[in-house]
Amino acid sequence: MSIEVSTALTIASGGMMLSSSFFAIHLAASLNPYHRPAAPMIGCLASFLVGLSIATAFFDGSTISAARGALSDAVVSVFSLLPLAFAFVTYQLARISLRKRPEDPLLALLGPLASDE
Amino acid sequence: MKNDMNPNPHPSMMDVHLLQVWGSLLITLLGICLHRMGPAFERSRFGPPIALLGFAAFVLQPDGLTGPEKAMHDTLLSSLPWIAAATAGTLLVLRGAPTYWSAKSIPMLLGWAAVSLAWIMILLDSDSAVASRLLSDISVLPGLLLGVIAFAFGVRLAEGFSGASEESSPLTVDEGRLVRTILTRRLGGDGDEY
Repeated sequence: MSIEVSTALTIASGGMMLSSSFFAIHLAASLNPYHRPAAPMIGCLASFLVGLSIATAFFDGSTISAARGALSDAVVSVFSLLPLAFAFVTYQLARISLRKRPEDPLLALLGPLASDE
Repeated sequence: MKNDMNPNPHPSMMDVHLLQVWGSLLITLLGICLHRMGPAFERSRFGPPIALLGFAAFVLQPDGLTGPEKAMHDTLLSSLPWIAAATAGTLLVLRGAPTYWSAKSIPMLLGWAAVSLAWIMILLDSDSAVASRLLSDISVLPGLLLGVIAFAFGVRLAEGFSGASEESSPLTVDEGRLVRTILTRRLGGDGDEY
């Protein structure tokens, strides 16, 4: 079970572009007078550009094609990993479904009086 | 060492499809982000319809989609049934769970039925190639994390630059009277005396 380095780097660069563009969209959508979006936006842009340059280096074709390919592969990978996240969610759902009321320490102090009631 | 995954055979024929795919994803994310702003901002109410519009535009693609976006579109469509079942099941189990030590058995049973259905769909859909793809899929995680780190660094930088805010000026006579009136009324007295 091995993977090509170029494939892994392409998907990782797509992940970088995906998360940085999400945060950039979020900054733009939630712009308000109390925001200072310049520094986070520069961080998102830098991260996007690094991802784009990695994708371009490992892709045959134009920069746009590289971005499209890497972003699409990243989205496909995120969807492929969702069942793993759902396994964790299912475990947590089982925990809260089987949860029992913990023994109250104050009621336990009453001892026989509490059990009589 | 060049990667030739998802080559794009007909770049000139795909402009409209490209716009629809990436445009609809952008609109969906925009709607979600607007919704996340919460009720304090009036534009947040436009979030859900905008997200729904983008999602519908993404799902209802015309025929002829090719290139890397085709794989993305197909993956989303094939994942949609189990994601819907998983979401409904999770919400129902959360609603039926004994949060205050009283469980609601009907939502809980329905929720677990939906969760089980989601797992059946996942297992039926999975094939033997899953294990071999898992390693390459996992490589998206460091990429996502690097994007998050860059954003967090920007936020930390912005907070560092902002510094402490100046001391606010004292209330004027009118403002003081207003505050006293409100407090007195809230505490049960007669605010008119001020």
